[in-house]
Amino acid sequence: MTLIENEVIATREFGPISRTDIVRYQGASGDLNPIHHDVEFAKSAGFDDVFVVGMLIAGYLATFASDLVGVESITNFKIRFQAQTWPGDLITCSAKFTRHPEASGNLVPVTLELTAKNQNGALAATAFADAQIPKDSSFLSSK
Amino acid sequence: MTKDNPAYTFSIQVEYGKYLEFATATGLKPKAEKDNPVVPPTFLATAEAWLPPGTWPAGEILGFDLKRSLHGEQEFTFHKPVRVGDRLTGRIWLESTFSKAGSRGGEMRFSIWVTDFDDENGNSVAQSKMTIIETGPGK
Repeated sequence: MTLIENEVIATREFGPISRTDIVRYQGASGDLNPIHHDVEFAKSAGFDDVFVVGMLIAGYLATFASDLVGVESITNFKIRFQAQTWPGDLITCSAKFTRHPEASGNLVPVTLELTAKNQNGALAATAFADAQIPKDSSFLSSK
Repeated sequence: MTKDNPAYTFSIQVEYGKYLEFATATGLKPKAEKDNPVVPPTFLATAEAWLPPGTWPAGEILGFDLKRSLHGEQEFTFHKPVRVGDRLTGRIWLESTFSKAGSRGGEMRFSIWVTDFDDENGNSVAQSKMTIIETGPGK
């Protein structure tokens, strides 16, 4: 990984997302909205099939960001859902980073700009993760 | 509605089993229980499981139709890391609500729900901000 600001520094794939992946996330999170696992319910709401719970995509992006900068360093995570994703979709996450000048003590503030796209390149979600990273972290020393 | 006058107040125990389940579901390699791991950035989405079963504030308070509702945005802010073993109090309140004309006709209703999480000493630990959108009828 080469750290160049405002260029993609890392990518990672998640999926293809199975119906089991959806159910596992819903059970783990406690959000049992049937539109994500009950085909009859999804059809009654006007959809052709169940669609992936957005917070699963958020979870993938959060895992990706956590593995890049360290879970304990993240102070803010914000996601905007752009389009639905469907069972069978393969999600590619990518990250750009910005280093902020106002370092305090041993910590360097950075922002990761994250996207999740499906196998057709359509944007599923965009997100930002703010982090305070120790100056000697492996993330920053990979430059 | 404000933080001091929330729609729901509830207690949360940050359990290792739930952490393990959530990490597995989101592709995160879990850490050992003895280390009281920091939970991942979207873990507090599990907090709603500590509400009475079936609770859905947008439906109960604003009458949103679940079949026409979408999760638009979600934000988590951490004032300090949340760790396995923490006991938190959550307070959910409606920050704002507004409407826009939908692109496919009808009115889209927006609602922004904030959950404040405090530790056992009453210190603010984290905040969740969730945007729920109800699309217009007959899309």
